[in-house]
Amino acid sequence: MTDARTSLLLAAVPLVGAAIGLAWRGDPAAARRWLLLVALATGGVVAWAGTAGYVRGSDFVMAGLLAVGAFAVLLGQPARPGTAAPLLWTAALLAAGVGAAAGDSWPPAARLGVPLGLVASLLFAYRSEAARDPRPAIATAAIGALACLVAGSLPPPASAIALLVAAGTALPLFPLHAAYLGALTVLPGGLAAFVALLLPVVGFQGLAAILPGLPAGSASALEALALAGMAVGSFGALAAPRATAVVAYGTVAFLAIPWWFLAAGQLASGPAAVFAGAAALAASGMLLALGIGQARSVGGGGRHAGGLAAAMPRFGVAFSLLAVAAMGLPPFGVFGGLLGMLLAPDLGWPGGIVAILLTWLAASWYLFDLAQASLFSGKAAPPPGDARPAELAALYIVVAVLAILGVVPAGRLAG
Amino acid sequence: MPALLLLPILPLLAAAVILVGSPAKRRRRGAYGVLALASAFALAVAALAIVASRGPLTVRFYEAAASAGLALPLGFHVDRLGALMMVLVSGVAAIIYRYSLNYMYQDAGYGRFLALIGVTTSVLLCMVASANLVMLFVCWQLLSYLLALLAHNLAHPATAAGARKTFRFLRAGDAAFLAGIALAYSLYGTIEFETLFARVAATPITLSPFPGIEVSGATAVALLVFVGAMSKSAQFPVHVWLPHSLYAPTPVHALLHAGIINAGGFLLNRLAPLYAQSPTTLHVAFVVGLATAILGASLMLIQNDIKKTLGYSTIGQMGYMVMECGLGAFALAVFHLIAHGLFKASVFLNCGDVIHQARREPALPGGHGSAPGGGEFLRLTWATGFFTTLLMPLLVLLVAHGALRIPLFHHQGASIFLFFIWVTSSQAILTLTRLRFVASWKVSGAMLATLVVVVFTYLFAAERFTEFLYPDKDAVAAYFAAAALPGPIFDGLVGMTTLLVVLGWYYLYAQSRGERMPIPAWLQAARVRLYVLYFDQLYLDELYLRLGRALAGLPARAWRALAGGAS
Repeated sequence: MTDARTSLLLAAVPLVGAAIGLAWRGDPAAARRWLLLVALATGGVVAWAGTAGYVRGSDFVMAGLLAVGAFAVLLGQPARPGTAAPLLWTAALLAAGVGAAAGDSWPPAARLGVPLGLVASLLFAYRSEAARDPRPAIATAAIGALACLVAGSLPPPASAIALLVAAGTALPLFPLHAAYLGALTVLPGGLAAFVALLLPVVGFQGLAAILPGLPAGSASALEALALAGMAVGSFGALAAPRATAVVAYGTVAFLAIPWWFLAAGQLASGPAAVFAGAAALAASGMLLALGIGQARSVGGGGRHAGGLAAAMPRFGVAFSLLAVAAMGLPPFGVFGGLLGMLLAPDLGWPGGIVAILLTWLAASWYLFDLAQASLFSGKAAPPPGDARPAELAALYIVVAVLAILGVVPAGRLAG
Repeated sequence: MPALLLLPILPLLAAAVILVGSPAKRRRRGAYGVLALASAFALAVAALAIVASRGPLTVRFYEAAASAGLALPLGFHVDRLGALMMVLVSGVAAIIYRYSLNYMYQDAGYGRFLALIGVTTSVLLCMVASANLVMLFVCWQLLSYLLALLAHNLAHPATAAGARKTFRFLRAGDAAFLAGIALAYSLYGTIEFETLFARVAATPITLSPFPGIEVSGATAVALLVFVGAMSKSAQFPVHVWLPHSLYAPTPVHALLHAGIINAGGFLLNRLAPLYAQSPTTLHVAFVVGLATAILGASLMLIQNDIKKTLGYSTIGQMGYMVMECGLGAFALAVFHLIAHGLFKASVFLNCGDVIHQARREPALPGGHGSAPGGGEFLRLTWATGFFTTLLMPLLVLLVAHGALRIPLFHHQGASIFLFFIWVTSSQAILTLTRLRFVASWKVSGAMLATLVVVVFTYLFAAERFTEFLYPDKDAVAAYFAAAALPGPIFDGLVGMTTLLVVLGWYYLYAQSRGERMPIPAWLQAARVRLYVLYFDQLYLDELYLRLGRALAGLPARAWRALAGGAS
């Protein structure tokens, strides 16, 4: 539980930081330095609020993840000319995300609506840079944001269903996963990496708030949609021709697992929060790493562009660790959360568990292929040099947080 | 007790000394790595001595009651089985690390390779000392990934493809294992070994996965875990990853064949009390092991590559080991895996040298000289073999059963041990008859010595070693009872194998005298077809390839249908 003043303070730090950062919009390097301080300050406020008991449980974990994720993304992004806008947007999204993640005194419509509205606007703004048709993504994100707007004027249970649509857009649930897919494949590198973390976090937090108000009987429909999401995501990742799409679809498949778990009556428990947060953070780290690798690779973007391990050995180790974490191997949070969910009391032994295990197994297939192709396939020209220390630090921050999520008991983290 | 915690840390130190510091001085620093691994071996020997005299050592860094809430319930439980495996793993790893210091020197991934050997050793030590099912599984999965990394030269397409195949097959087994753990927790509410065994024994649960089909909870859990063991120990039909992993450097094979591949046998032993509650799973293990043993041995015979020959030999031996578990002879399986591990590690470490020698020396491989006996029928050799293989066991059986009144035919466990003694010695003695370039009396002497060694080895395995690993005689009897095959099937198997050994002698006799066995034409034709079939590895690779392609195509089609097009 977080009081309104604390959540306002949490959102205000990055928001004010982003506003001040506008002063350096012509100097991306200076803007990046400032925004790194802002992200650090946000993390500091989250830590203070957590230590003082103002933010607890999954609110604390999710707000902390956003702050760390934003810091890593800002650190790992190159400050080239013209990149100030994505950097500033990252800080603005951090404000919306931290406020939503730790703002359980706010109405769910506001917690979900603001981030979704911002993402819809960004998708529209960057639509011309999309390699694929961005309209389904823009439309789905807009539907999610609109659902939040109308939810306030609808009677229950219609309002709960409207919010469920918004939550399904943010924490991607088939057939509303297009917004998340679009955000990861359309938005520019660092921004996509942060949105990969932001949307599932606010979606999960919003879902936790609206679950008690859902009409009876919706559980089986949600279970079916979650199973469909696992299938669509896994199939998509296995068939996707581009590396970013592999990660995006794979994350859609993984994030359907907490939906099934919550629909199966397990409420928003610690392991589900850890799993959702870790899967989203792993996706964020993978996108960041792919961006770093592809920036140096001639065949950047292709699934089989690679050969990076020989010329970028340090990057290769970090990328391997991220892939290991993303595919759900120990000792990282994705595996820890999954195991926690599978060992939940009274979960029973339904067929859904078989689907979860197949989804988990499929990730070892496509992510292992992706990592092997990126690192060892010799199709790309050798990059000029290894990743910069700041880029490596960004990747290792993500790896370290994923390891912490995997080792620290879920109950203590997000109970 | 704190020294016990050093055991998995020391191999990590061996990895760290290689990674930290100047690459130019790695080889020199490697000496410290060898020292760390040798210390781990010494500690493991000390742990074995302590465990043997004072009982199991247990360290838990968690509350046993709340272990399921942890992603990594870190704890060590070292009993005699665990300590024995630790000695094997740390000893072999120390030798392999030392060997690799020279063997891999100047290789592009020298440091990474040695570090991975250290990390893999640490994970193996943690696995055999796991205090609960989850920690064992965590290490189990890490081994799957490490094995793929140890393929080493992943820029080489065939090596990368082999690593991919290895990882996929091992992960399929991992998924089944995880399903088994989830089911076990769901049914019995614990991941602690002893508590799980007690609850499985005390609470019979019946599941109905499909209408009209009922299966006990113990069987469902044991079968799922067994699939995990099958993949790691390369059992038919998921053995295909092992021959494809043979592009990895030679020291990896030594570690794989002496340590990693034994994980399946270790798992079955660790969960022996669970398997004792599920005769169905033991029978499945017996059938799978038997099929793998036959397949591995047959495929081995037609390979023309030394590494593949050894690889298929290992598959056959792993089948043999799983078959022993399926018969309830768990201790015998451990004895087997240790003996095989040591043997195969030394053979692999030597095979590179043999290939090198063969390339340099035109007279190698030998076998083209003239025999003292001119390759003729050697009466003494044949008579000794016939006596030691067929007449003497029959006499022993008659005396034991008739004169000493030992009820051999009422206890499958005793029969199994006697039968394994007989089959093993027969196989070794039949092999010795191929020695035509040595004097007949020497071959006969070797046959008698072989018989004595085999008999004493099995007697040791059956008595002392079983007593050492499983001091509870009632538990051992319960394992044999649970694994007991229906009388007619057991007798049929014994009869069939006996017939095969006798036919083997007849074949040798006929061949030695320059005569031909009267083999029916259809059998000759079948033999040719079988040769082709085995030469192509039963087309299993093609089958999996086609299945893989079909599965790879299915997502594309389904995805287009569901999501409306590829991105």
